[in-house]
Amino acid sequence: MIRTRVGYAGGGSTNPTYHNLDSHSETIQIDYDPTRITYEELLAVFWDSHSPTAQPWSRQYMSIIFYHNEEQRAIAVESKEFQEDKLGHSIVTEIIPFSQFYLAEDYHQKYYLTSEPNLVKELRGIYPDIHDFIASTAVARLNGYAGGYGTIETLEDDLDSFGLSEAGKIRLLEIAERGLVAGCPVS
Amino acid sequence: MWSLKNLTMLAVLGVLAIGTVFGLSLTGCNMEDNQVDPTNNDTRVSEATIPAIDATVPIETETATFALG
Repeated sequence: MIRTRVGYAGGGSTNPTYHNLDSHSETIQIDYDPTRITYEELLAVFWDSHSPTAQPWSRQYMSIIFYHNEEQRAIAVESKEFQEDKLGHSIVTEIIPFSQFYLAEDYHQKYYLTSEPNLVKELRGIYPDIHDFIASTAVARLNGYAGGYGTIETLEDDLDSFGLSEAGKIRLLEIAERGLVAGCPVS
Repeated sequence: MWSLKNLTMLAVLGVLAIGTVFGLSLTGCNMEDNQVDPTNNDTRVSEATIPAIDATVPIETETATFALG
């Protein structure tokens, strides 16, 4: 996972906000290294991260796969069919072409990390511009660890690459000691 | 007795002396401003370098976009 950001997509209006979503849905956008993780593997995390069988009560909480090219569309369709067979239930997830992504407000980004203000302070020292902060791989990974996701092995491998102080590294290890769950964070 | 020439010279010297003192005080202020307190965490953070993991991200990436309720 290279970068993650949360925002809004799928609606008809321009520049939606959290309090004025119109027909947009809450969305996560991920930049990934295809030599390290496949689209199929990301879809597996997508299916495992929510319940796609129940119709949501508003478009804000829709289940949607926004495909960026024909290859993604074909993989998504096949993956949805596989999930329906596996669950024995129809899935409401829409598969639609990606058109526009609107970045959510700053306070929605890297949600888990907001519970670690000292780590945020260090990282904002490195990235004073909020857009650089959001686009940082280090910040995305640390957000995952702050949320309790990952493995101790990957954390130990990456620990010196996040640009943290010794105090920051110690805090990160303390978080890991509470227990990590292998998987991907969603914000 | 002080001549006009002496008084003028004294005035010029006085202005130079005041200017020198004023200039040194300004220089001193600037030097203090440039000093770095190594115990100041904020200063250390602002001088932090880009994390290694960010410096080595692959150029070729793909994007996936999902809404998951």
